[in-house]
Amino acid sequence: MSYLQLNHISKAYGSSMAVQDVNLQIQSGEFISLLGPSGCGKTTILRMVAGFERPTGGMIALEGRDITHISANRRDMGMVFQSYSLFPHMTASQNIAFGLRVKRMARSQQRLRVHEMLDLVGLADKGDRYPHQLSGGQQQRVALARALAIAPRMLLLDEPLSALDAKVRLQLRNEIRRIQQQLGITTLFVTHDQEEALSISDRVVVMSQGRIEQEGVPEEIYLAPSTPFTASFIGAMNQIPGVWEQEQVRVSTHPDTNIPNEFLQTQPIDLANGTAVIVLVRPESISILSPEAAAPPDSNVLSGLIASRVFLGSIVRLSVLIGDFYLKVDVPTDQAEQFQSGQVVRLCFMPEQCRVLTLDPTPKVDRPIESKQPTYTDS
Amino acid sequence: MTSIQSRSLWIRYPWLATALGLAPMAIGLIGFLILPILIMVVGSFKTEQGWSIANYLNTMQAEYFKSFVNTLVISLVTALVGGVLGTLTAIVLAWGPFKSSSLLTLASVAANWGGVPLAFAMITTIGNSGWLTEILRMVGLDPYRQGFTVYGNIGLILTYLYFQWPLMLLLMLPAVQRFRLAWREAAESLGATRSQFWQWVGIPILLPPMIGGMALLFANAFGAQATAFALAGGALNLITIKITFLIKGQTDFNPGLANALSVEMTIVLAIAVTIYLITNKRTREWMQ
Amino acid sequence: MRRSFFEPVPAPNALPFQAIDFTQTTIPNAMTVVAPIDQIPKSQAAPNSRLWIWQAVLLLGLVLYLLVPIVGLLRFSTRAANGITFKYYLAAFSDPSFYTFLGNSLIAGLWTIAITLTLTTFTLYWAYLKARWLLPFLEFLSLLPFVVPAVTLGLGLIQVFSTPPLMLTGTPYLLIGAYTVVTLPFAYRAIENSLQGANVKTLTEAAENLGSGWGRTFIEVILPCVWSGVISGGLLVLSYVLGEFTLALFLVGSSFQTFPLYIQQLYSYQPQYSTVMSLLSFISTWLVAWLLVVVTRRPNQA
Repeated sequence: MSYLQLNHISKAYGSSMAVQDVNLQIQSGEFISLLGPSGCGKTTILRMVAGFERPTGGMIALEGRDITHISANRRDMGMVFQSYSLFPHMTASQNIAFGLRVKRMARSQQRLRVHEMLDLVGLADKGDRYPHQLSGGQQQRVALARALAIAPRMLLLDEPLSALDAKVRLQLRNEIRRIQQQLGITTLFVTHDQEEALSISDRVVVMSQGRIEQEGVPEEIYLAPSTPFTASFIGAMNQIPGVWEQEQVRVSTHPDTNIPNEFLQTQPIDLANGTAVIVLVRPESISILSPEAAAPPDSNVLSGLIASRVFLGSIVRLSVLIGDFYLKVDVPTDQAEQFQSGQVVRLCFMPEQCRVLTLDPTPKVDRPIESKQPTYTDS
Repeated sequence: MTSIQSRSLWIRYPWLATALGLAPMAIGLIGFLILPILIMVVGSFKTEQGWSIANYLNTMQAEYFKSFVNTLVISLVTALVGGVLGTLTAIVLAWGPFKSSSLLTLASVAANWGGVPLAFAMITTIGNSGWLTEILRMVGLDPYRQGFTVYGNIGLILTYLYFQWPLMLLLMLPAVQRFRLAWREAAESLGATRSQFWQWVGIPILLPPMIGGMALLFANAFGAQATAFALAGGALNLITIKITFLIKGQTDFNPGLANALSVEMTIVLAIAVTIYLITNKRTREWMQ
Repeated sequence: MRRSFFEPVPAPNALPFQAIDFTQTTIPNAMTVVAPIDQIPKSQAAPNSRLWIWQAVLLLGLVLYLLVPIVGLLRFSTRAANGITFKYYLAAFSDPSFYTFLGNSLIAGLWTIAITLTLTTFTLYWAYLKARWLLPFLEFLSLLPFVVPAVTLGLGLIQVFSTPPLMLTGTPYLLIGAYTVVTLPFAYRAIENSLQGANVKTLTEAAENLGSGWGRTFIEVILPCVWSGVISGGLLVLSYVLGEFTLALFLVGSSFQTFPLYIQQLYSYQPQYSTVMSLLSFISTWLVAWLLVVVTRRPNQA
């Protein structure tokens, strides 16, 4: 039995559906991220789990018990909000002790626990500071300590890092993961930052427009996106439209019909001829062949013109024009010197790195969580 | 034009331009504000016999002391009652389902309208032949039989409330709007019941702006003159009325005493405003 | 940056509307521009369905409390032996002294507006450019009406200006001078709002860069941006002057009777006229409040 279960959860505001028929199972001790753009329903789901919103349909069960109609203050969940949720008139210690006061814990015990929590989040000497005397990152640590002080059954985090500076964000997200693993507490984390979600979660749930697009471990989400939305949302992804023909994908690279089309070899898949598909390949999976090098056997090779190059720090992203579409190619910076705009290059990528998605015209209702594709493990 | 001048006086003495720019307002302030206050303070130590603190001693006399206490009490009552009502109204307006901007316009009108017309409006409403009084008489209640009069303290309090209530509403509204939902939800997620939330979070956070607002309301009422004067002339026992008659009255003319009373009043007001400034600082720290 | 304009202005003696956004300033002051309520962020919810009962009670209570006395004015001013009469209205408005005294107030008001606004705009502009350290000090001016109410000021002014060579008591000059000082905070707040939004320093530098002298810069570049602040300030000052009683009583008395003095005196021998005037004052205050909202709601392109 899962620790937390969301069964057919939906939430309607008037005539618009913020969440539509979401099903999710979370095991004890897992760190689950709800990932998606604003308005996708992820925060609404979190708030329904916390008890601040009531679902208009469906059921939420915690450790087997139906908690859908239990009020928020009796759910025993610790919540960390996006920002500025610390009580301004209390010191950090008093904030952390709040939940303990509610539980009528003895003063001496409160003090011990507060101390423990401050240590846990690395703010042992800041207990007497007021929120307005703390930096954003410190405030969120206190918020975390406050939520954990009551030893809740679950930890809920609503974009806790979004309002922080990039550097602090990085630091804090690793801390959150470390603490979570140390305590073994089941955690639901909402974010719109995919790097965040991928780096610290046990499983990632990608959402869009109130529905779950895909759910799985981070590697799976990244390497094997199963919907066009997930593919474009996670990392940079090349999406090449084409038609499935005889075990290959026919991709038109030239609008001029006189010039022959290219064919791409992809991972094996069972589709009818003529199905419209999208071929997915990550920019880092494409390499550039030097003019005299021979292409590896069974690889896909395309020629194109470098239209632009963007310096991104550790990599340079080239945009290569092939016929009528662009491919993004990532090259490590120290090798990127030789590639300049206007050059003609040969791109090479292996079939195993090409995933094929069908363009499914029907809306994805009741889509099972597992992907429809046959196994996409390395061939 | 500027470039030519700038090679001259203005470059060599840049502060000259600043001084000149600020001079007009400075002159105005000195002449019509600083000077009068100074004269007032100095004049409070002047009596017909020369320099002494006799004026101040006089203000401790029964008559003026009573005025002081009376003004204090009336100001405190209107500040407290108006303060509580205003805060509740602000909370209800900011957090409730119904929004009305014309209500706010009405409130800002009422907070700024006062003085003479307000006094007359009150007289025509709860005066001896006011329409509310007559309605009450029809139902069998005659407040005037019980000793109530619009020209008395209670009448004045009711009159002052007319602007104190909406004033507090306007003062508290920003604070209440800045009260974060996250605070309430955080308290809830930590297990607090509604009353625990209010007791430990809601009220304590709203206390600084409330106290500050009430301090201003107090200062407002304490220094008020026009409304009381129009309402009952010299009959009301207020400091500001006493001062008025000490200057404008033919028989009681005593500027020295008036000055002393005024200085004491200013001290009280300064205390109230200081309280406001302190709580305001706290409010700003918290409601960022 | 959007500000919430709920500035209360206390001053029982008809202080102009004041707005306080205390998170921006330390002092409550000037101008109220009541922001349209849909612009007010939906902040807190007491997610409490019983709230609407409280809301109904309190809001209704407030509205009643504020309107009932006005009804009193209406009733008294139209009272006749049997039913309603408007004869007092006709009589009051055909009385020439009404126009004289209203005129006095208007003259005082217009002069005060002219002086205060010019002074404030000029000084604020200067402060923004050259003496930014002055700005917090100017903010303190806003607390003035609370610490030095009209009684105190009137008392002091009478003593300063009742001896030669500054023999100004009884003259409108003194009154206008006093009004100018008292309304400084209001004008300051109004104009400061729009100056802030207009990013004065950058605009001035840009203009100078293009070769404009400071006069032209002021008139053609800065003024249009602060126009709404100026108009708001003007409305506030006017509203204040038309309702101010105490200073007028102290400083000029019967030699330059203003409208509020007139209303007060009239009560002793023509109460109905007085009531009509009072009603008029209420309506005009409302008018000013409405105009303020209109003027400041205009989108501000800076």
